[in-house]
Amino acid sequence: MKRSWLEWLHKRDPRATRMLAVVAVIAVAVAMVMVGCGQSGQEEVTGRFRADLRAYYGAPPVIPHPVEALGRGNCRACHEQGLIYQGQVAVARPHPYVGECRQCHVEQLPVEPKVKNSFVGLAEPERLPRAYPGAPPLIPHETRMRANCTACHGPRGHPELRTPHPRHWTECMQCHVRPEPGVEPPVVNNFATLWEATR
Amino acid sequence: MAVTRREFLGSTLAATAAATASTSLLVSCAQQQEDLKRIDLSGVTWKKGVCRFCGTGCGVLVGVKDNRVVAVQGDPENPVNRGLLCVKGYHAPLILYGADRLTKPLIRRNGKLEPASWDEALDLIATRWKEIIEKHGPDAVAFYGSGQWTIEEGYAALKLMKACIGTNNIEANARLCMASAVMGFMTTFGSDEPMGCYDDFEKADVFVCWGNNSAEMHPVLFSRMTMARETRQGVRLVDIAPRRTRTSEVADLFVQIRPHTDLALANGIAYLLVHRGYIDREFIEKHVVFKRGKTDIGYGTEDGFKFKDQPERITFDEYVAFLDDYKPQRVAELCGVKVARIEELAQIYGDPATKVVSLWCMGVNQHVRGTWMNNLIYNLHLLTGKICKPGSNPLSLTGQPSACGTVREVGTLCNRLPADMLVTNPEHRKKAAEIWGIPEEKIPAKVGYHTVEMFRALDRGEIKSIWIQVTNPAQTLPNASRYIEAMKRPDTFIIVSDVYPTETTEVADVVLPSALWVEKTGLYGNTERRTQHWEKMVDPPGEAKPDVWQIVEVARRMGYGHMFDFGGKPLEEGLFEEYRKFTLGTGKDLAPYEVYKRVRGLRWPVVNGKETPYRYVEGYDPYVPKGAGISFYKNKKDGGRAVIWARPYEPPAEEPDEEYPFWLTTGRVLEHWHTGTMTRRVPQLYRAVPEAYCELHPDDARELQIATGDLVRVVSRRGSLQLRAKVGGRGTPQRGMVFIPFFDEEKLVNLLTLDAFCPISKEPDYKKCAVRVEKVG
Repeated sequence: MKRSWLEWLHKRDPRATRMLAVVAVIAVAVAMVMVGCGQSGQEEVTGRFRADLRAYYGAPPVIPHPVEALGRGNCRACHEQGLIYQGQVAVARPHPYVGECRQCHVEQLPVEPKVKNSFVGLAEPERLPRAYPGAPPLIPHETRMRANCTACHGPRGHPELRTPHPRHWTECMQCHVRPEPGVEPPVVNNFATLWEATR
Repeated sequence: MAVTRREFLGSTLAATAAATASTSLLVSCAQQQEDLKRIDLSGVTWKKGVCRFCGTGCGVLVGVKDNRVVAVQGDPENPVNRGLLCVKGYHAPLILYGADRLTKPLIRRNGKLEPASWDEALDLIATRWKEIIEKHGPDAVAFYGSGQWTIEEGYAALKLMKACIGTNNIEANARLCMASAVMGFMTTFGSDEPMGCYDDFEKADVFVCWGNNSAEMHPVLFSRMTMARETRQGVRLVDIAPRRTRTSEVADLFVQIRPHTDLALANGIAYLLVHRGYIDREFIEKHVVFKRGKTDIGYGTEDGFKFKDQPERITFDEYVAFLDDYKPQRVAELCGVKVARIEELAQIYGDPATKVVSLWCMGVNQHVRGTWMNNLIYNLHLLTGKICKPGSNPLSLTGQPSACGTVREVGTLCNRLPADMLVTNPEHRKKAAEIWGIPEEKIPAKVGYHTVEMFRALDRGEIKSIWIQVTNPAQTLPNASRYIEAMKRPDTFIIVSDVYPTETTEVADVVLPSALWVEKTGLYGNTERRTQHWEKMVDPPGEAKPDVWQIVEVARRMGYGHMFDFGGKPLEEGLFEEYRKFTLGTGKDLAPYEVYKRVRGLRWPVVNGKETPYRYVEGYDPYVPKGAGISFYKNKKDGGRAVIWARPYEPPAEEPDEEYPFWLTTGRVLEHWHTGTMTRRVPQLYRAVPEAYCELHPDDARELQIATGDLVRVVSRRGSLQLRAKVGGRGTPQRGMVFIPFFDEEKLVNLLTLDAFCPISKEPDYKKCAVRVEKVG
């Protein structure tokens, strides 16, 4: 089965098979790294934890640790470069410097409001499908206020978000792009269809 | 994960402060996730709107799905905030969904508020008002609105009172926050609102904040200042204030003055400008006149207080002689700062190569000499010609989202008509009467009651009924006990339109449930004269209705339906288009309603579809004659010139003494909006600052043996309040001063404050009264 579609593809475009080979190697490498990182239980907890710090997708996360006890204006000590300590991640600032950190990020004291709130917020976006296995993943989230990709995806980001290829992290957007939400291309492209059909 | 919700709830505030083990806190936060339901991205529509909170006027994109707001984004296309918001703005969607939203009209029967139908409630209001007016005259009813009113709501209320009922008894809470700014503008430039705009943030060299903690109160503008400093060399931020705040922490120069001595400091800077040759003589000769007014003008603490200024022209030399009282040594002693600091400030204002933007808000406006203080800041810019130049302008910041657009431009105040007009001016009344199609005599020439006097008149029995919309005076009036008692009395008829139960709905006779923010269509006008529109995006809960609908329904029932008939046009559009007629040709021109639907706001005057970033400046402002360069054309009585005022230092209404040794200053915190009605129902904001506290200087705390978390009693001549002490938090008052925020309805700091006000603007001084602090137990 496999041989037959490869042969077919090779006949159509010999370059495609070479590219596929390269892609396959990368894909295997990615898979290995992901397995390496994936102590899956912890991943799940931290992933959910990160989302829970926001009122909705796009809201600034609240601060999950005491602040005033740490003294004033010291956010940068941990969040300038990013820091991992005893399994906890203090991500670097993903957005350019804007005024006071605490104009958007606020501490939470363990008290509950007297009045309940029934707001239902927007969920974090799901991962987007790749063009083919091994194709660079698309960026599923807004890039505004997230210009510094390495804050989350660099070596000091959350384990489940770290890039498998940290040496190539200077120009992330040359391979990973953000599809404009809700926009469909005017011309149908059959690549994905072919891919699905031959699988 | 071992912490259960109950244990979590049970832990106390004090325990948190002590908690440093971050692991347990991290777990605690994850624990909250059971609250967090999520809705997926598909089918979410995004519409442009305006933030509900401060006067900055940030653009938002509101995400809506299934008739619910599910998210906001900072609008990247809006030039005000370019995609950024503050923590309040980001959490704005949650303000709609507090569990105790008012969803049905309520009428007080046998002392209890009971559900009623809209017809019952509206008929009751109309009948009572007609009875009162018949028996006691139109001045026995009053309207008390808000800088959070949309333009259309404010205009409808103004029209109901001034054109239909025929009374000038309409005020708004902007009297408590912006009146001094208004009178500052009117007395110096003859027209309200700034010449400059936010474009100055990217052009200025030095920002001077006068008593303004913009890091917390105007966070997005503050970030524009700090971004300017990050991206351009030589940009500096100066903070002049009695309390060390987050703004001071970030500032390059913090000048800590004694409370109320800003008057002396501004005159001290002017003295140095004049004597060091820092003034722009050519600008002064062409564009400025000098005046002085009455002195020793009182504080308005007594009922029926009246004041009328008597301005007289003086010469430049007389002005210079006046400044002799403000030699650096004397000013330094009065303010409690070094002479070098005053010289440094004079250098900043004086150096012709330095572009300066001065910013101020409540510290200057809530001041028994608030109008004077506004004048004195303008003096510094007028003396040096640092005005009407991109990058160099005084910029009076507003607190509320439409204090400018609604209260100041529409003129929902006891002495005003739309577009800078006054009820005392027969020509202005004539113009208004023509637009409204009513006889001139219908609009009374007599100025109505200003806010504090309005509630005093309620207490005296002169006013029988007040309709209150979008504000919470039982929590915000200074020296509130007297006015709360007056509202509670059975012989006063109080109507309150609001979205949640408040201290004021507690004392109301009728409560009307209102639509909030994007549950209705509206326009807001911000600090930089930008008028911004949003469409209704979701339905209000239950039977809640827009305030504008409520006003018009009562008007109809009182027989004024024809005054609100706009030939089938939507009510909001009809009201706005009529209001717009007042602005055309005045230098305050607004664009047609349709235009605002499309754009991210426009800064007035809008002439031939073009907005005006800089007023009074040729090439920007179409009203400036060719070749004039700069013209203060609205100040006709002074020949198109601005006024430099000789305004002295005069002491505050109350100063600390042996019995009450501390200054009390009140204010806001970043996380909470005004009385917390909305923000205290947002879990993230509630948890950030759950309750009001008393901030002390560490040395005072040590002397009184008070530590953070201790219960203290703060006592003034008017009341007392128990709350927890805070030392070394986000702000540090100077020695001999305490700070208490006013958002907490369980700790009403306005039971302590003094109802003294600026005699010219009638704006109360919430920043200065005397208290003592006692440790409890």
